[in-house]
Amino acid sequence: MTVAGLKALFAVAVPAERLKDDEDTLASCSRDTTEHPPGRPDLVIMLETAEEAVAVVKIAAAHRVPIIPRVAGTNLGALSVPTRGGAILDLTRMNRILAINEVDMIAVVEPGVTFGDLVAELKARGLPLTIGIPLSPPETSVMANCLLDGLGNLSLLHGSMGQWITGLEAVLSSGEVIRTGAWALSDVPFARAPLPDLTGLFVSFQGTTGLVTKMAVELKPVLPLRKRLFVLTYERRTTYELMRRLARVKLFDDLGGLSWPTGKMLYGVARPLEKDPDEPEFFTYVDVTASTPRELTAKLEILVAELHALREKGAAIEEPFDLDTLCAIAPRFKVFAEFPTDLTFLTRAPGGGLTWVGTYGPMSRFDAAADKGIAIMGRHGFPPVIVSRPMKGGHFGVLRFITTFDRDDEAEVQKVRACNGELTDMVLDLGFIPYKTPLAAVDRILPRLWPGTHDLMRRIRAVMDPAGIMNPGRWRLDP
Amino acid sequence: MNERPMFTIADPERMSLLGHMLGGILETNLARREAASLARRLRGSLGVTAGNMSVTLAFGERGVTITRGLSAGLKACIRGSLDGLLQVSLGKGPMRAFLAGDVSFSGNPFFALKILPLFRAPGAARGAP
Repeated sequence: MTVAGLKALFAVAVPAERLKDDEDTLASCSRDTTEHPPGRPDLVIMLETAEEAVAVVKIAAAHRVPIIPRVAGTNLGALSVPTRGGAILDLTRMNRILAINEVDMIAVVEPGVTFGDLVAELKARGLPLTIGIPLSPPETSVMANCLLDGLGNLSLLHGSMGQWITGLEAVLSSGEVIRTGAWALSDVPFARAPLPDLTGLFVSFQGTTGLVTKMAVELKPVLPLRKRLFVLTYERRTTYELMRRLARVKLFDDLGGLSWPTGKMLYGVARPLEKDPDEPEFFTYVDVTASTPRELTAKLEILVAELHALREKGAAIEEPFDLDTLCAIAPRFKVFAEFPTDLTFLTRAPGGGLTWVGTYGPMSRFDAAADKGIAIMGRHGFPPVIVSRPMKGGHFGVLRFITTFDRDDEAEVQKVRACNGELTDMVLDLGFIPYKTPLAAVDRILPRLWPGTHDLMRRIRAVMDPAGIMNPGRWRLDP
Repeated sequence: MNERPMFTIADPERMSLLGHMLGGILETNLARREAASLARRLRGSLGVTAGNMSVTLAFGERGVTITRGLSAGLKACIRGSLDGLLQVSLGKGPMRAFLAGDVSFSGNPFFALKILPLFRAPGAARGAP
């Protein structure tokens, strides 16, 4: 179908001025910052309401037009880049915070609500509540991060953010609007329980099962006192041992270990390839919150005691210093002061490429995965930028291998693909699983996946989207 | 004569975080006339060791250079925990830090004390000696 034909179809549901086919708009949706192949949409539809979403889905299903949901496009997996053309559903204007239930600690948001929006609204209302905030730009969609099961700065205690969703409202390709969780029966979307849990049908399916237009998500209390401390460790084994120990103590809100190149990149070194043998390998931030000064002091004492215990075992660890001290000395570290944050320091290098192999996996194998990952990145000529965080009390954690590169240099893009491919195989060997899974990783996962699992995913997809229009190509669910 | 002294981090890709942090402070301070004038007058090298990291700051006719590790022929050396040195940079008096055992000096302590104002973080309190 021609673009003019598409526009005529969708103009029934959406005003013509919100149907975009200009070069700039199409180009901006055709690629992300990663090495994953570009894909051009035929049209970008800027939705404003759930009613428009229903009408557009019905038209798309009737005419077999692929539809791809998109907000900021910062998932680092090209998950909103079309694989088969079609229409991008730009959801940035569906940005209403529909409810904030202070007592039950739940927010109901549309897909275009960003972490910046939600945090600002909670502050503006003076509510002592927050949401887990990812290490990503403020324009990141709350819903996208939850539906893609990303993490946030409270995932140490509360797990990945797919688990924070208490209910959804979604449009299936039939045009039906369904609700999941308690919200299917109660006017308060208080939990996924106790009805059969259908919310999972939309989590990590990457938009292939339906278009989610509303999401209820848990909020967490904010305690009045907060300190962010930095601990420098000279060996990664010490870092991971520290993370495992502190995760079990269950007194800290967040722990994040960033490897040595990150600090140098903050100082404008685009590709720090060699570590000073005497410098710390990781800087780890520890977030501590408390209701009273006494509680804060007690928690800090426990942190110091844990560090001391590790030093007794021979670990080389600096005394912790707080964020204010660090930022007074080195204002560039303010980028880590508050989340969401601006991470443009990572993309300052020519070509602006930013990619990762981001995985969840067992903390018992962090050391092995980091050892191998550092070797692989070094072999391909990339600095070993690693971000590690324990999650859900230390049951598992996130381990990311991050690469910046020149997207305009095809040879370098090929090098990144080779490096990330090797990293993906390595983490899969060790039992880690890439999250926000890009197609390149899907292709390496499928031959290893438990027999029947992918077939079940395909059957679920066929039931929920018989028209096969919902972000086709993802997870290789389509014929 | 009021021009800003040249400031260089030798081999920045391989420089430690300590070198970059000290470099960041120095670069900011050298924009101030008083500090620039002091840097122009200084001659000789200072070693700084924080935790396991070491750098050398060489003050010469061509400006200030930070290099990795401790060079030969240092006029003075300051050692301490990273936190101890950060506190000095934030305005805690160096003698107080010395007496508290947070930092130690070797070589010519007067040379070290002369240089320290260049590493006071912008906005830090003026510490007692």
